Amino acid sequence: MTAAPYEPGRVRALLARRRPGFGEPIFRIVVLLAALTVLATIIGLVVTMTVESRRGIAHNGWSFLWTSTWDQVRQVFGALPFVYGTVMTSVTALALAMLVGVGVALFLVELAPAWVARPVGFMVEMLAAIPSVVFGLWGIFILAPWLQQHVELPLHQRLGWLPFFSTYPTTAVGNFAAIVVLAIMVLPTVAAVSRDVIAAVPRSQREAALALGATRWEMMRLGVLPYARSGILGAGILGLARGVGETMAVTMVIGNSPTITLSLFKQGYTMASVIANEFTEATTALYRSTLIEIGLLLLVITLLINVGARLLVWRVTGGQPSGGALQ
Amino acid sequence: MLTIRRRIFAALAAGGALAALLLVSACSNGGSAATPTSQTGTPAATGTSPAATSSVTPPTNIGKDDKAQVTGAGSTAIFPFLSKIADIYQKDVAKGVSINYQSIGSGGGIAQFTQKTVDFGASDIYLSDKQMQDIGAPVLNVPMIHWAVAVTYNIPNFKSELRFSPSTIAGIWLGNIKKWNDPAIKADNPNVSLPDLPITPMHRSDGSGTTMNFTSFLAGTSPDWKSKVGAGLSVNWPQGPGGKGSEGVTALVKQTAGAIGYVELSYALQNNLPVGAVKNAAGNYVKPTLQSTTDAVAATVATAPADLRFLIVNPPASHPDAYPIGASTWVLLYKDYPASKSSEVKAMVHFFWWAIHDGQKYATSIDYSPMAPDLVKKVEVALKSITVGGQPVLP
Repeated sequence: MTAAPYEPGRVRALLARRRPGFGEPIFRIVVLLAALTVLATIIGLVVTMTVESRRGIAHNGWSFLWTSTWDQVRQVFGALPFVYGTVMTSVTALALAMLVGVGVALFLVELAPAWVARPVGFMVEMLAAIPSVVFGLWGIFILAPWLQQHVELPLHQRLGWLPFFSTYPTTAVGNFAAIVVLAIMVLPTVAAVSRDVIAAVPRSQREAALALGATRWEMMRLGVLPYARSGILGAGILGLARGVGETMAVTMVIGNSPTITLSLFKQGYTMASVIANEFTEATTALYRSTLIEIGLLLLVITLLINVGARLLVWRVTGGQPSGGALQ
Repeated sequence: MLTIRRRIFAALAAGGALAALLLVSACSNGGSAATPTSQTGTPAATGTSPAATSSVTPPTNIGKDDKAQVTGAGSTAIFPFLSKIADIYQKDVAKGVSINYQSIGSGGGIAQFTQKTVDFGASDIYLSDKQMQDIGAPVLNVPMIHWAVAVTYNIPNFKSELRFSPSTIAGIWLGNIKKWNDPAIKADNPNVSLPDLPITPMHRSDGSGTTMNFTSFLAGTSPDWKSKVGAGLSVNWPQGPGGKGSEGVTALVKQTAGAIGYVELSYALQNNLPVGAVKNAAGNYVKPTLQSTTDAVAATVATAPADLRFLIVNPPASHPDAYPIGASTWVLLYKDYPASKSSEVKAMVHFFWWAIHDGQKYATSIDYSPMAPDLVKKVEVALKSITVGGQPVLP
């Protein structure tokens, strides 16, 4: 279809034809209900999960949040290693994904000719559609062993004095593999949103910078990125949300060992993974309840991250509306 | 605009017609499947012939006239067996009986069974006294399938078969034995030259019956393991990476030089991984096979409690060829069902009766060990004790 030519008569005709009546209030109620559905879902989740986890909460107490023994045989439960694993892997993965993702976005919008930008942009979006269990299978059978031989071993040999690389990578699975798989999974979100945000920066910004004699890079740094920063942050928040909640792929490559370590080559554990691993065979009521408590904690942490990110965007933009932003 | 709308409508109409057509053909299929009654006679008859050889009353072709939808939920380990024999049962024995089993895991199975939302549950561990109390009604734990937990390893360029004593296995997973040429492993394998290679022990990260029985075996043979780790569907592992599922552990072992892991025997065999022989109570090193696992069941059942709540780990020395790490899945049944459930319960009990007799021959084809004859007798007693509204189901 070609764009419809502007016809002032059509709008006028429509307005003239309408009948005064219930249309307006019905529309209002429909959209209000749509908004309430989201609210009700979140409240419902919090309420049912709190009720289901009350046995665990009563047994575990507050120390659940800062102890690190996870022993269902003796019924001693501490969630700290899982919280640490979730936050550590998803934040590191996001940092990696932001570096690459914003680079991809800048390249696609500012540098690539259309015949490159379109197929590459399409492929980036395709990456987001791959199911996470496929990433997990690919991770455990292909990526993790490759990383172990070609990235982890050289890093350990050259930079082994750093605490991050201090462990000899005996097994392919571990924090490092999990971070790389997560980064790949988060990348399309970051890249696609950043691309749209950068593309929305007005031409006048670029032209002004170029007219002052800026180079390509200076034009991007001075004209484009400051304008798009709140939108790019928004892309990061979306990416982080995906990273925090990711379950299957991480479970398959992280090694599932509840330890708190700086070493990227050791095994870790995340909150989503422990639920996925242990919920199906949790045969006692307290154990089940405690796993639901982990789920509740994950929900709370996700909410905190979102609130924090919203505040960050606010600070960065100084409360002022900015062009190309998501908010 | 208009043409587009018309096209969409046409497409919708076509889709609707197609759906209606499918519905009609599905119905006619269902009808045709029910009509040839003459066919039912033959497979049922072949089903009866092996029954004649086993000297049990009542005959195994009971229930061929049952009509019911039986629902169950629980263990994933039993699912391949249940789905296979439920198909065969519906095809060969009772056309009107369908077994609807959701393999949601033992925890979910116990929960649904407790809330009586399913007719039977299935769990990789029998119910504890407390769980039976919580249910508040008499419950039967009926072992249905058995399999071996194999110790498998990956030592590059190493062709010899390894043997392990229980204390060596405990030492490896506790982290006390760190290298393959440790004196403890050498003592188990006096004629083998072992490499100076670090050992990486792997475990299952998800809760599983395989872990339950492996850790029970270690807790039963090593006081150190019992006090430090204990036994459970998932435990607090002293060290080592965890893989999700048997396939996860198998992948980790295959990828890691020096790794050792424990998996269901079938996974090790399918992946061409070596399996170790394990020392049993009689002092023999036995490799895991379907037969050596059935021997373990036979050895254990003699001393087993009447309520059938027993593990087949560390069987007594009476069977010298028994493999010491076996695992089971239990079917959970109520002792008395309400009269309103009469047709479902009849069909269900008849089905399980068939499963422990004729159904056992299908176990080996999917790498489960057939039930030992002594256990079959005990399960028969349990199934015969089931009543509906106070009336026994089996004659």
